[in-house]
Formats: sequence, C-alpha cells, structure tokens
Amino acid sequence: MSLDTLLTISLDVAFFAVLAFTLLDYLRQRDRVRLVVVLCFASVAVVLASTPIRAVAPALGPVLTVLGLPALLAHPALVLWLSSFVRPLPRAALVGAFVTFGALTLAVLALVVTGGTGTSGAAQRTPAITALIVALIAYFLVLEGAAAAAFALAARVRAGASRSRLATAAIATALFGTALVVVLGASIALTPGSPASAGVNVLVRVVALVSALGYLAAFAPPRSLRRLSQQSIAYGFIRELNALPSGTPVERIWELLERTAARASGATRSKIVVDPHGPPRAALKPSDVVTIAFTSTRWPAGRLELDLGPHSLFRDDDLELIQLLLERTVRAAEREAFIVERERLIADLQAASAAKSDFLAAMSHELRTPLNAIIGFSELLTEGGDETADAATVQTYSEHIHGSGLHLLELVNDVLDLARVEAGRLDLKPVRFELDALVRQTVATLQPLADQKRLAVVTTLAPAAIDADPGRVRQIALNLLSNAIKFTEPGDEIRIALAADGPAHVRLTVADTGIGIGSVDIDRIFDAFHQGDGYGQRTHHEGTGLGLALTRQLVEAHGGTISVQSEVGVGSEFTVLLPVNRPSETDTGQPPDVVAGRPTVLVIEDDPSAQELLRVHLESAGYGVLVTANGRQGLEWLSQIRPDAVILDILLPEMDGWEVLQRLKGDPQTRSIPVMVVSVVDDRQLGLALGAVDYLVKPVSRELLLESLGRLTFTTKVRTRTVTALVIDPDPEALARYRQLLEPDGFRVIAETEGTPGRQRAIDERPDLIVLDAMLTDVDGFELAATLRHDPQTSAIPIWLTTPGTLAPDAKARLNGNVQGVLERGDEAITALRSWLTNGHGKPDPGAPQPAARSTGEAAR
Amino acid sequence: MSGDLLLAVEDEPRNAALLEAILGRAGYRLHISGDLASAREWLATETPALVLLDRHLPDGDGLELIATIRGAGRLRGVPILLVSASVLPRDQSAAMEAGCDGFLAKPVRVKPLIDEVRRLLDQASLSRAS
Repeated sequence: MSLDTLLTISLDVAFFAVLAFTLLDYLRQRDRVRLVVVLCFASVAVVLASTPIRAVAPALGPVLTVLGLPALLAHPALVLWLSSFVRPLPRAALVGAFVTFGALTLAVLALVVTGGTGTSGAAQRTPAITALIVALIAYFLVLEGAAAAAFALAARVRAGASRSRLATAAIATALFGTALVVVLGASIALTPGSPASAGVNVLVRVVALVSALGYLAAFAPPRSLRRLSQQSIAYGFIRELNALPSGTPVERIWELLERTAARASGATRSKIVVDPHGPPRAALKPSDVVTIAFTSTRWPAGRLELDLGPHSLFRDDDLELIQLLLERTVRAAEREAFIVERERLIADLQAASAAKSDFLAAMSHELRTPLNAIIGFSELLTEGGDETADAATVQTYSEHIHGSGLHLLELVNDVLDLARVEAGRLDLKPVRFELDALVRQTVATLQPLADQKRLAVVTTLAPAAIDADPGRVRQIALNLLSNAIKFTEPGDEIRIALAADGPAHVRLTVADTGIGIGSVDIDRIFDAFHQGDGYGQRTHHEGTGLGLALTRQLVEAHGGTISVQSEVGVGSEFTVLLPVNRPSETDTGQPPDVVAGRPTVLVIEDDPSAQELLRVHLESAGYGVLVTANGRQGLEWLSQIRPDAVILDILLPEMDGWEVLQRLKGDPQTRSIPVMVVSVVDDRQLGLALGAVDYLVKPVSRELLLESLGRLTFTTKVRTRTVTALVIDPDPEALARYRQLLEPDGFRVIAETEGTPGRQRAIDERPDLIVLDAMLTDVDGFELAATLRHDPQTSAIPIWLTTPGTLAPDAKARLNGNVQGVLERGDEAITALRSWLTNGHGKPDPGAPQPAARSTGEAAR
Repeated sequence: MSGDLLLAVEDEPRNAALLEAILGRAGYRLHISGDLASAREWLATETPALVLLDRHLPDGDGLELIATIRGAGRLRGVPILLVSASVLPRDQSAAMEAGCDGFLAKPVRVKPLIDEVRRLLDQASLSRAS
C-alpha cells in the first residue's frame, strides 16, 4: 500500500468518524438543522467512500458513479438549505437550487451512460460536455458561495459563540466548495492514477476533513468547546456588568442583559418584563417567543422574553447561558434597586430631619416672642423696681401680658391642629351647607379688622352648597381673609370671590393688594413658619406662621387644593378648590363610642381650639366627651345616645345654638337632658328662657366649667344609689312635708332646723342636695349659702333656697351664684324638687314657682 | 450717663413697649423704630448712645442696619446690642460676625438687659476717652 493510499484511507476514516459524531448528535436531538447537517456530511461521505470501494471491487464502478454523482451534486443545495436556517432565503431560491441540482444530475448521468465509462480523457470532450462542466462549476461556485456568505452575514450580527460558530461554518463552506470545484476540475483535466491526480486526491481529503471539523464545531460542537464559547460571552457580560457604577438605574441593567441575550441568541427582540401583565403579545406567534422566568422577591413575576423567530439555531445552548446571565443580572439589579432605594430613603430622612430642626428653631423663635413680653412685663410688675408702679401702668403691663398670652395660646392651638392633621387624626364632620353664607359670615366677623385699616372688602359670592366640615372650612376662610387683611396696606382693597369650577368643584379666591410674596418664598409659603422670607417682610402683624400650613392641610384633608399667585409689591391671590361632593367614607353620621361608666357630655362647638379646650378640661375631670361642630348632627346624636349633659355653643355654622336649644327642649325625648351654654354671645336671659340650666360666657375657666357641670352630674347618681336631701328649715311642719313627699320616691331626707348644725350635717353626710330656707333663726340663709358654696367640702352640693315670697332684686343680687335655684315655700316647691330629682331636670318644671335667674359667677365675663 | 438716648429697632409693639418700660425705668430715653427704613431715616439726623436691634423685621434682617451704622463716621463707635428670639449658636455667631457688640436672647430679663446696656455704654465711653 502506497503512502498515498494510507493517507487517503486514514483521512477517510477520520471523516467518517466526524460523520458518525454528527449522526449521533442528530439521533440524540432530532431537529431539521441537525438532519440537514448529517445530509451534507453524508453526501461527501458517499463520494469519499467510492474511491476505496472502487479499488477493492472495480466491478462496482458504474454503480458507484450513479450513486456518487447525485450525492456530490446535492451538496451545494443542501448547504444552501442549511444556511437558510440561519439567514432566511426566499422560498423560490431554495426551490430553484434543488431544481438545478436535479437537472444537472440527470444531464451528467445521461452523459455517463452514453459515454460508457465514468471518466473520459480530455481528447474526447465535445462542446456539450464543456458546457455541462461550466454549468457544474458555476452551480458549485454560486450555491456554496451563497451559503458561505449567508453564514458570514449571520455571524456579523451575532456575538460570542454564535458569532464564532457561524464564522467557522462560513469558512468551512467556502473551503469545501472550493475543494469540490477542484475535484471536479481535476477529475476532468487529469489522468486518473497520475501523481498529480493522487496529490489532488489527498489535498481534497484534507480540505474535506478540515471543513468537516469546522462544521462539527459550528453545528454540533462538543461540550468542552461549547463551554469555552459560553465563557467568553459570560466574561464579556460580567465585565460590562461590573463596570456599571453603583446606583445605576435598574433599567440600564436590564438593557445590558437584553442586549447580550439578543446578540447571543440572535433574537430579534429581547425584553425583561417585570410587570405581571407585560406588554401585549398579540403580534407574535407564541412558539416564536421563548420566555425565561426568574424569581425575585422584588419582582415576583419577572421574566425575560426572547423573540427568536422561526429559524433559530443553537437554541438550547444559548438559552442555558442566557439563563445563567439572567440570574446574575437579577441579583445585580436587586442590589442596585436596594441601593437606589436606600439612598432615596436616606435623602428623605435627612430632609425630614432638617425640616424638623428648622421647625424647632422657628418654633423656639415664635414662642420666645410672646414669652418675651410675658416674662419681661411680669418681672417688672413683681419686682416693682425703684418706683411703685401706678395703677395705669399695672393695667398696661397686664394687658401686654394678657395679649401675649392669647397669642401664645393661638400658636399652641395651631401647632396642635397641625400635628393632628399631619398625624392623620383630623376628624372631618362633613355636612351639606351653603358655602357662600359661611364666607359672608366670615367676612362679617373680620369686618371690624378691615375697617380699622380702612380696607374695602369686595365680595362676589355665587350660591354654592358643598359637603364639607363647616368648622374647618370656616378656619380656611378665616385664615386667608385675615392674612389678606394683615398684609394689605391701609386704604387698599381685598377681593373675595366664590364661583363654581366645573360641576364638581367650587373655587374660592381671596386677592389682596398687599406686599406680595417673592418667587423664592412662594414654593414654601404653605410650609410651617414661612411667612415670606425668613428674615424679611415677615410681620409687623401678629401671626403664628402656621396659618397657611394649617390651611393647606385642611384644604387637602377635604380633597381640595390651594394655590397662590403673587407679585412682590402688587399683591397675592390665593385660590382654594374644594370638591362639591365629598366621598362618604369618612363620616357615617354615627356618633363615636361613648366611654362606658363615665358621665357623658356632648359638646356642640365648632371652634377647634374651644373644642380641644373643653375636651381636655372635661376628660381630665373624668367625663366621657363627644364633640360635634354641627348642631344638626348634635341633635341626631342626642336622640341616639342620651348624654348626661350638653355643652352648647351659640355661633354655629348651619343651625345656631338657639335653634338647637329650642328643638332639644321641644322634643320630649331630649328635653330632660341638661344644657349648658358656653358662648361668646352674652345673652344669659334668652338662654335660660329657652331652657338652658346654665350660661357661661367665654372664655371659661376650668374651675367654673367643672363646678357648673358638677351640679348637673347629679342625675347620674340618682340612678345608682339613694339620693339624700338635707333640708334646713326652722318649720317642723315643712320638714315633715318634705319627708312625706320625697321619701315614697326613694329619696332619703335628713333635716336640721338651724343653720350651724345644718352646715355641720352637710359636711358630715355630704348630701346630694341641700334645701335651705332663707329665714333661719341662727344665721342668715343667704350667708349660709355663700359659706357652703365656698367651703371646698360642700361646694359641689347644689343648694335650693326656699323663700316666703318673690325675691326682691337686691336679694337676688345677694345670691351671687351661690344657689342652684330659688323656690317659693310650699308643696309646689317640693313637687318641683321631686320632679327635678326624679327626671334629672336641670331646673324645676316650668309649672313650678319661677326660680331666680341664676348668676354664673363673676369669672364668666 | 443717665438720660442717654438709645435706639430700639423692634417691630413687635409689645416687645418695644417692654424695652421702653425696662430702660425707661433705668433712666434712659428710648426711640423706637418699627422697621429698617424708619431706623435709617432716624439715624440720618440722630446719634444714639446705643442701638438695640431685632433681627426679624418687616423689611429685612436687622443685621443689615449694622453696615449703615459702621459705615457712617458719626455713628461708627455706637455699640450695637442684638436682642433676638433666634437663639441658635449659628444665629449668635452670625450676629457677632456681622459686628454686634452684644447679644441678648429673648425672652430678656430686666437686670441682664440693664447690665448689658450699661456695660456697652461704659465700654464705649472708655474707648472714646482713650
């Protein structure tokens, strides 16, 4: 065996080994791409195998020629088919290639059959044969070249392994095409068996083997080779990923993966979807889209979508790699998202902390301003100095202290309100009311201030009924209007307008011609303690610096907005938009729960600071307190919960206190509930005439409030234990009569005939009620009443004074608020008392002798 | 020394009245300006023995007046006492850097105010004498 033959055989064996490998790969994973690869190899294998078989069995020569020629000629068409999986071809081109293959095969076979032998010398060549050879060469060059070009073009748009594998395929195809052309040419031009022919034979086999190995690497690479190429992609990706600076937006990390995944897989579209629903996918055939899901606590339904198109190559390898990269990417994105989030949180916290510091500094400043006058003037008063201050000076200083104290109170109330709103604890009590009427009222309230500065207040109010908390809306209107008055120079004008703003909103504007607000300040005007610039134009007017902050919070709590337009030196215009209808979720109209076991007081009062004050006083004394700003709602609650007492304001937004009182007293269900009026309106007589048991004029001290209420809570005791009445009367018959009339109803009556022992008895027994006759033998009844009232041991006991007839005015004056009421002697007085005790009425029945109008003590001024 | 005329720049009427009451009792005469503009106007013709200055004024920061006082030869030696409710360290150092001679935090007490005014007036008369 010659060296040539040995070389040929070993090369053939190697080639067949490669063929076997691709066949195994196809059998492991059957798809069309692998099948076509096997066919490409098989076509060459048939040609290669023909030489040794011919040598061993020359008789098989013609058969081999008939089989080998079509196999050889099929190769270009098969390779073009293979390339079409990587780079789609027009269907006609592929069909054309196979038709050409068929035609050429028939032509060559016909030639061989007519020529007798498979190969012939150059001398026998006819023009027809020459034309066929040219056609064959052209066929090989065009198809192998087109396939190689397709692989090369596909390689250019890909990355990593795909790129190198496609490039290898392109080179292998080009090489193999060239080799086939050489074989074809040689078989025609050279004499078989010549040294040149043998050399070509070996060369062609080497080229075929190299090409086969190239195809193997391209289409069925061994594991180690795959790993190598994957590592190169992964390496490049990780480098890019690590190069991203800390705090990179997560979007940019996703983009990096999308880019890499698209290049590695040849996908036309690659998208990370973290939204559970994702983009619409109707335009894509589901089979063309590969989805790789990932798990992350941050993006529970995250996935990567790859649109690979119908002819994807190397799918599994690529997907495996992409999955690895995806997992790495998700971890990186989670970290970055966390960092971004943390930095934002830190910035927010720092801003909040700075805001708090600023707030505290401003608060300190605001508190010190009134404290300065309070401490300074009181120090002057208490220390006296070198000279004794005269009465007028003392008066002036006291007024300064008082005024500053009120300012301080206003400040504290605003801070409380603001804190309550910011803590989300502002309870709005929305009702339907006429906003225009409320605004008109507010203007009227502040008119005196405007008059002082000779300001014209021009109102244009369209009727507008809205659902809102009238007390809070009045606060809003008051704040804006009083600001306008404060900041407008004397003699100028303020305009207030109310109009509908679309069907769903009303617009309230308050415009002034005041100093205006600088553009820097305008953004902060609604922040706490910014009344214009920190060190400028703040105020020679008194204000807490919290009004606008509070106003904005109140507007927003109503679901509205507030905005301001302003120009320095020209004026400011504040615009409030409020929804006409309020979402009903906040208020069900149901009264809040009553604290069990405590006497309950219903407070009907619209001023928030007064509400707060009453609540604090009452709760600290052990009462359960219900507060409403609205008379109508107060009446509803009254019938539902039957409080032990009512504290009623007179100036209420929708239904005033007088009407509330009349309705309450007109309803048999509620008429027995004692009502105490606490108001700035000083009309005691009207209040008592309408049935109030007490009438206090604001401001009311805690002591006065609790003392008055203490006389009323009596009624709650009636229900739980025996009520004791102490009767101090010199007339034994009268005493007997009290016993006779009161004891059957379960009241206990103890009696004294003289004042001094009577007083001792009151101290010892602490009766629930004292009935005191005005004419005693040892002491004066009026004086005894005063003594009892001022002795802390007995001051809480209500006293009824009985008199022989109607009291003279000077005698009434002497009572000075020391007694609960005055009754004319006789059975009717006792009946009245009994009725009062039984029903818990605040005063005897109207039918009873008229009690004296009660004084409420001098503290109520 | 009694009877010295002082200028108080203070916009809050009650606090102005307090300065007047305390310093009047100590024997000083006090002129009160409610803002920077009227203070500048008054200083154009008058020379106080000392200036009491508030910071938050309707038309600006009280510290702006210091330049006016230090810039005029006639007023250059007039001691300036800042009486402010801004009491943070940064506020105090701002006042001292701006050229105030003394700082009193609101609320002011009677004796410290009188003492500080006296001290600054004594200091000023000493430096004039030397």
